[in-house]
Order: sequence, then structure tokens, then C-alpha cells
Amino acid sequence: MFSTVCQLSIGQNFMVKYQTTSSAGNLKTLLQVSDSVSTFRLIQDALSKNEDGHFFFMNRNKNILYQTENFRNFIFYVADSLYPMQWKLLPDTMSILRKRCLAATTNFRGRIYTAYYTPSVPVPAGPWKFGGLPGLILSLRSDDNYITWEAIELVENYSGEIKVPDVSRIKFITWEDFVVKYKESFEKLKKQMRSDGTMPPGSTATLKMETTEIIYPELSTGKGITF
Amino acid sequence: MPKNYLIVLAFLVTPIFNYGQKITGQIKNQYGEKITSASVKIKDSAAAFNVNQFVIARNGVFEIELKKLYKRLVVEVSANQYYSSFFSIDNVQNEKLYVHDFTLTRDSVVKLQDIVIRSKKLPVQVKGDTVKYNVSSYRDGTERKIQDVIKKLPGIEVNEKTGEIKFKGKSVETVKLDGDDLFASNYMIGTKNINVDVVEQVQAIEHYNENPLLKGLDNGDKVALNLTLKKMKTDYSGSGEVGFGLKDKSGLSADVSTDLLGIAKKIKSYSTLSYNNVGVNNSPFDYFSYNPNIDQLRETMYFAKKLIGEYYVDFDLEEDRTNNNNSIFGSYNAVFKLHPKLTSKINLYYLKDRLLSQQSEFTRIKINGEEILTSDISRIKKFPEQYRSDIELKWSTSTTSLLEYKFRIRDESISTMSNVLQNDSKSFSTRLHSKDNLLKQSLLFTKRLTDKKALQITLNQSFNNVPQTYSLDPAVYDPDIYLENSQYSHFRKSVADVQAAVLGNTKTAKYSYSIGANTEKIRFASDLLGVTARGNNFIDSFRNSTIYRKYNFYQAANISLKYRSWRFTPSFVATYILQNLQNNLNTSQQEVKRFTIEPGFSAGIRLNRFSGILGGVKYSSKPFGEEYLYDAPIFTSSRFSIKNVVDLKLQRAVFYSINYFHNDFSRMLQVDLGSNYRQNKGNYFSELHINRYTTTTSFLYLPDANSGFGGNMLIEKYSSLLQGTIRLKSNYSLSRYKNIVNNSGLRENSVQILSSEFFFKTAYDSQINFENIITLKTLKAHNDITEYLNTGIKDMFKIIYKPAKDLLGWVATDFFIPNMKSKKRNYVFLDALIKFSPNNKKTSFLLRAKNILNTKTFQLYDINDYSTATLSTTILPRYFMISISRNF
Repeated sequence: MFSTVCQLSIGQNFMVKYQTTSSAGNLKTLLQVSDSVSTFRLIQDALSKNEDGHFFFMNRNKNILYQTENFRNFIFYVADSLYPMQWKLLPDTMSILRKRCLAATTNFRGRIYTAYYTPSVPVPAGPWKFGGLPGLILSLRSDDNYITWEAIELVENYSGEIKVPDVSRIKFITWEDFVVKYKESFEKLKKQMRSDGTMPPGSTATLKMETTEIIYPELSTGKGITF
Repeated sequence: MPKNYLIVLAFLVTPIFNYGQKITGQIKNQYGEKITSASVKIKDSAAAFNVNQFVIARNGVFEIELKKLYKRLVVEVSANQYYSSFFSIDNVQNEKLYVHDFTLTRDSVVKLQDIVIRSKKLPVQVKGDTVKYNVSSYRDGTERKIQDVIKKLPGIEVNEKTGEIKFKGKSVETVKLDGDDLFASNYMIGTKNINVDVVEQVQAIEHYNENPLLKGLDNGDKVALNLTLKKMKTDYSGSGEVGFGLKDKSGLSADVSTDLLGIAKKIKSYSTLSYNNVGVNNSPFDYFSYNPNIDQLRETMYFAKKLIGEYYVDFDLEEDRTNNNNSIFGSYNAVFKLHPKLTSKINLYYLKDRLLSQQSEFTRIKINGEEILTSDISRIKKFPEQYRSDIELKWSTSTTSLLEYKFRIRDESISTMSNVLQNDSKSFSTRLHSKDNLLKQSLLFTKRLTDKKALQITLNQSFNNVPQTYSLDPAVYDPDIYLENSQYSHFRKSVADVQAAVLGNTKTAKYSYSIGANTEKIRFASDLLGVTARGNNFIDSFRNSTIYRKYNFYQAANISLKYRSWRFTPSFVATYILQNLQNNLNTSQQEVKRFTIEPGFSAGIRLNRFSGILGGVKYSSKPFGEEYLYDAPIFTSSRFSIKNVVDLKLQRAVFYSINYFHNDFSRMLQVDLGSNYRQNKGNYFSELHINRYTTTTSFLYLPDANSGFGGNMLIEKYSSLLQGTIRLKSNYSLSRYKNIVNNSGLRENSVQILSSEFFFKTAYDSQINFENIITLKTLKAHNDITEYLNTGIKDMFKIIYKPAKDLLGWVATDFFIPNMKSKKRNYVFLDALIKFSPNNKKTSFLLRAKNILNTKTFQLYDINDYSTATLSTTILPRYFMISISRNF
């Protein structure tokens, strides 16, 4: 017996504004969630008409996160799985935006994070790549204080437009492929710097690139790589 | 054999806790449609908030494998726009698969508009060395100046009387404005006068060093505050406030002030000018009660002493209840960026005041079986006036070196007129005129030698001239012969010092080594003049004329070693001291040369991210101050005179301290527990001779010991019940000392003080909020024979009512029982304020009422090892005032 699957597209949409604190400074970021898609970006991107080819959105039906990643000037189109992190629930509670929240922790790509989610908004979404909890994440911070997201505004029954770009023509790679290409790009960079005169013969340079997901541990942690 | 081995292995590999409980099912809505995304939670009961386990169900199907043994559980399914549904299992069986299909009904509430929930900005953010407080999160509308908000910030304490600010228990070096240090240690000019509306954030910075070249090399325990300002539309912003009203039976009350903040690329300035006669002190200088400001405390070695003490009121009341003043205060502070490598700073201060006070003191002295009763009723008029200017130049001679020159000049004069009725029988009229002229210069050169080492060379020079003239009518000395006496006391102090220091760090240690020399020359002269109808003469036995010279050559070093979470800091100072005291009257000279070593050791352990323990021991050996180095007596009031038996011994003491702290800003919890002990071997002790009319104190050196012990506790926590802060603070001190009174033997005395304070403040979103602080203070003084005990209690309660966005009012009552043994003697004060700030917020109207019940006097009890005293003071009468303030 078949039952028709009807996508409830009249569904309730949500919008959350987060205060993001990281080494890049204090920024405001925006999460928009509908039943089928969700997007996440810097607020100034939403206001300006700047189309520089970057995007970050999720197709909730297909469970895919479509994003542009980059290593310096190289751009990659990555299709990552939705909410790949494993959560461990904690008994702590906190009140955010007058909603009672529960805590959970995860070890995601090199960092340990603590999140507070509210079961009263049973949408498994959150800031950036995080989600998959039985409630909307209103606070997320990495335990080493590298990056934090704190919800400062929540709009239920959001009536704004949620736009996602048409990416049907783009060829995407998986996250695992991206990690390999990231390391290859670093090697290319080393060769380029040696050959174009940036590094005179016999000199050494040290490069350290801090990223939220630790893709290449030697490059992002400790002293970086000397070459 | 191999097969059995494999089975055993398989058993070990399987997770130990596998009960095999599994729950699965479908999630559809009332129309039979599959729900695309839902959360399935395992809870202990339907009402429980905590989630034990969960799974996100996709496309209407879920399967959850239980990770622990449950006896009973509830499965809750929630989805966006649906009512949650529950299924409970009361007796969960092992190895069982439960199948349950959920049907969710649509949430029938029709939401018509966007529901927006906005939070107030995060109150506190901790980023690295800096704690950032958002001013708007801590305001309740009653604040006018930024100091009113700084008082409320967790982790920060403000001394109401002096304006001194402490962060995590450490006194702040300065309060900067947008990163510029305008005020140095006189930061209360900024915090007491800058309007709360112009400040965006208050940042507390740890590991602060005002010299950027020394960053990372010092001990890193200095702290400072920085006020970040809201974006200003023009280069200038300022405010003005004008208030007038009526004082009960004594004329006009006035409070007028204006300030101007200028932020331009090359000049940053802050100036303030104010006048008031309602007891408010907007300046960093306190002429009313004895609270030396930070400069005075840090630089005592450069200042000459005043032997004839100025008049101060020391009651445990807020200054604006007793300070009958008429003050004008003005200050201009600016930093000029003259050149990318040269900045200059100028601070100008002017203060003029007239303070009135009426006090009475009734003392009962019990000594050697004898009882003496004395009384003094005084009416005082004090006129202080001060001009001061500080100039500073900073020149970055290279990218790694800095040359600073600081210059300060101060001219202060205080004239005090008083009338004292002694023992209800004799009336004295006295006049004290003190002048204080100071000139101080410093030259500092800092060079950052390498990434890990720096050199600093400092030169200081100062000259301080403090002449005092005190006249008494009728005479206190030989009143049968003389009509009047005039007491002269004059200190002139010159200091010069030089120091070279190297600071550095290695991977595991921070060190500093310095050598230096300083010289002091102090000239002291005092005379007592007797005035008769036929002529005046100086009284020989009251003459002093000395020159005291002190030379110091020293080496000091300390090293701070880090081992895991421990930090050990041994230190020492080795000094060669030469003291030379020349008596010009009998041309005698005493000279002593000594070599001293003062070792110290401190250790600290960082227990975790929030807490640690710090302890230390220190031995100190220093010469006594010049106030003990004259031998002819000096009259300091119509009753008191002092003198010394001079001795050039050293003051030796050992200090022990231990402290535990816990600062967790995310959970808003702060705990501080500390204890310290001091032991002196050899000190100047007082020998008193007291009768109904005079008290003569002679200080003499005895090799006996005295000691002091103190303990303190502070717990501050945010309470979600009150939506506000709770604070419990307690201080205990025990001091053991000796003295001789009226030819008794050497008496052993002790004084114990225990003071506890409980404070809470609510911050509900509603219209009403409360604030209450209750303080209990117990004083116990005893020696072998007698014991005195006094307990006093005080409670200050405030209700804040905010019926509308632009209207606010508060009513506060202060209740005192100074002595619990006589509860009928209690004092109640009532104050109120109404503030109206219409929409544009630039203008506010205030209606103030102070001391509505018109309480006229206040009395307290004071005890020491030989007497009890009842002191009363007059209170500022009731006044009403209407003020208009405007920001521009």
C-alpha cells in the first residue's frame, strides 16, 4: 500500500540571528530554516547584492549541505552530509531568549563543542554546520573558545524570503575529497612561493592557517608548518 | 580450538551493556501523511525536561536502540507545527522490540504575525585577557554616571568614598577611554563624572602594562579598565546638569555640573566643572573624611608629613549625608598626538571648598581603677583649596625604545577654624593653616632589548614643602602666663632616586633584576610661641630643628618559575642603608649604617580554568618614617600633644598570606577566600598620659612584638530566582598591640573587628525591582583587665519602580542601630528620586528628596582598649531639588 508523501511546504519557517565571535572578530550571522532548505550566512552578505560566488545552504530533503570552501585563492564546491556530528547529551540547562535549553557536546573535526538546544522548537537545525539535535541550537561554543555562536534574535513563523542558488550545473566533491585537495593545494602553494621569487633560495617560511574544522592539523595547530 | 577462541573474542567485542531494547515505528499526521522531520526523545517521564537519548526521524520512520537499562520510560515525538505526542512503557523488558506508530495532530494555533524574540545583548563576554561588559545589560535606569554602572558589574568592586576600583580583588591601574589613558591613577574624575549614556562597554583587561614595550615581561598581575564609547556623530559630546532646590531652614541647595568629551584624531580630551552644596564629591580628592587617594598611597615616600592632623569626619555614613560643603571642582585632561612618535598629556585640577561640621565626643576612660570623663563639642569650618597640574611627554625614540618625562606641580592650602567647648567649661578657638607645595619630576627610559628582555632606567626627583601654623586661644601651655599659643610645624622633604632594571622571560620563567639608589633629605622645624600682652616668646622645651638624611643602595631580584599548573616566585632585596639624624639645637648627630636582606617567596597553583590558590611569605626590614624622629612635643589640638623618644632602629616584620579565588563569568559565580598574618618584632609603642584636659602621647621604640591577623570572604552569585545578584562579604581582623597608659605597666591589648555584609539586587523585567544591603559590625577591644564589645547593624533598602519607558522612581530607606545594646537609639533616613526622560532621551528631569524625615543628628559608639566614646555629628538637613540634565 502506497501512501503519498506530501511535502508540507506551507510549513513554518524560522530565522535566527547569531552573534558569532571568533578570531575574525564579532560578526552577526543569519540562519534561515524552512522545511526543505536552510541557509546560513553573514548578515552583511544578505544585505549587499554582492554575488561573489560563495554559498552555504542545506537541502533538508536530500540531507546534503552545499558549500563553497577555499584554500587561499583556490575555490572548491563541496557537498557534505547534513549534520555529520555525533552528539552526547548532557544534563545541564540554560535559559536563552527566554527558552529553556538542554546541553549536548560533540567532537567535530578537531574541536570539542558544547551546544544548548531548545526542545520547544523541535527543528534539528543550528548555526553553520551544526544541528541534528531534538531542538534548535541557540548557543554553540568550542571549548577552546576559538569560535562561539550565541542566538540574539529568534523569529518563529518567519515570513521573509529564503533564497538558495541554483547549483544544478556545478560539479561537487565530497568532504573527504576536499580534505585531500586541501593538502594538495598547500603543496602547490609551497612550490609557487619558491618559484615566483617570494622566497629567495635558502630561506624558510612558516605558514599557519587557523580554521574552525581542523582539516590539516599540522597547518592549523601548534606553530604551523615551516618550509 | 580456533572456533572457541573466535566466540570468546566476539563476546568481548560486543558492547557490555546490550539489553537489546529497541523502539521503532512510524510518524504520521492526522491525514495519514508522513512527517518529514521529527525528533524522538527518550525521557524519564512526560513532565521531565531532561532528554536521555534521541534520534531524528526522517520521512516518517524512526528506530531507536536504547543505550542503557531503563525500567520505565517515555517516548516523546515532536515536530515543527505539531503538538508533541507521548508513549510510555512502564515495565521495559530486555531483548524486546517495541513498535509504536505516532499520529501527530497539527498545532491549531494560527500564528498571524512573525513572533520575534530578541535578547538583550550578551551581558558579559570573555575574550582572552579581556572581560567585556555591555553597559546596557547592567542598567536599571537609576544610573547617571558611569561609576553607577561599574559598581554593579560582577567581579568589580568600587569604594564609594574614594572611587577606587578593584577587579578580581586587584586595584586597577587606570581607566582608559577608547584605549587612551587620560587620567592615570586619578581615574575617578572620569568614572564619577562621565555620563552613563556615552559608554558602550566597560572592558576589564588583565596582564595589563601601561608600557607596551614591557608586554609579556612583567609578572602580569596588573589590571586596568577601558571604557569604549558609543559612536559619536560629532567630535564632541557632553552633558550639563542644573539643579536647584530648598534646604530645610538653611537656604538654597544647588548641584550644577557640565562636562565635555572630545574625541578627535590628534586630541582626546575630557573636562569637567561642577559646583554643589549637597555633599557630593566629584573629585579624586577627599577633604571631608580621611581617604587618601591612590597617588597619595602609592607615592608616600615622596611626600612630607603633617604632624598637626587635619580635621576629618569619620562616621560610617555616606558622605552626602554629613558633608556640609560648598565645593567647586574643575579638571581638564587631554592627550595630544603631536607626532606619530610623540604624545603629550596634560591634567589640570582645581578644587575649592568650604566644609562645615558640628561634632561632639563624650569619652569615658577607665584606667588603673580610675575613671575620667571628657567631652568636646566642636564647630568646625574647613577651607581647602588645591591647584595641580601634571604634564607628561612620551617619545618613541625608536621602535623598541620609549622615553617618558612626567612633571607634577601642586599647591594646596587648607585653613580650618574651630570652636571647641571642652568639658562643658572651657571654650577654645583654634586656627590651623597648612600649606603643601609639591614639585615632582620623573624620567623613564625603556628599551626592549630582544623579544625576551627589556631594560628600564628611571630617575625621580621631588620636593615637598609643608608648613603648618596652628593657633590656640586661650593658650594650652601655661595658660596663666600666656594668652594664646601658636604651634609651628614645618617639614621640607627632597627626594632623588635612580634605578636600572632588567626584565625578561624564558620558556619557563619570568625574572627581573634591579639596582638603584635613593637619597632623602628631610628638614623639620617646630616651635611653640607664647603670646602675652607685653610680647611673645618661644618656649624652649617645645623646639625641634632636625635634618634627617637617608641614603639607600639596593639590589633586588625576583624570578617566577612555572611548573605545570604551579608558579613559584622567590625574591629578595638587599639594601645598604645609611641614616643620619642631625639635631641643630644641641648639635648632636646620630648615624647608623646597616645592611639588610629582605627575602620573600610566593607560590600559586591554577586549579582549573576558573580557580586557583596563591600564598606567600615576606620578610621586611625598613626604617621608620620621619614622623618618629623629633623629640620635643607638638600640640595637635586643644587636648592632644605628641612627641617621641627618638631611635634609629629598623621596623622588622614578617607577612604571611593565602588566598583562594574562583571566577566563573559564564556561570556568574565569584568566590574569594583569604587570610593574612603579620608579625612585627620591635615597633614604636605609645605611652599615653591622660587627664580631663589633656592627652599626651609619647612614641617610643620597644623591642616587643605586635601582630595582626585578618580573614576575608566574598561570594558573589547570579541568582535566577531574583534575576539579579547576591553577594555575601565578610571581613575579620584581630590586632594585638601594647601600650602604656597613665604609668601602667606595658599593657597587652587586642582589638577584633568582624564585619559582614549581605547584598541582593533583583533585575526583573517587571516594573518593580529591589535592592537591599544589610551590614553587621562587631567591635571587641580587650586587655588583661577590661573588655568592651559593641555590635551595630545597618540596613539599606531601595525599591525601584519603572511604570513606563521614560519614567522611573525609587525610594530608599536606611536604618541604623549603632549599638545593639540600646536598640531604642536608632536612626532612619528616607530618600526618594523621580526621573523623567522624554522620548529623545537627551533631556532628563529629576526630582530629588533627601533626608525626608529630617533626621538631625547621628550617633555612634567607638571603643578602644582604654575607653568608650559616644560620637555624634549633625546630618545635612532635608532638601528637595529639581534638576534638568541634557546631553549634547
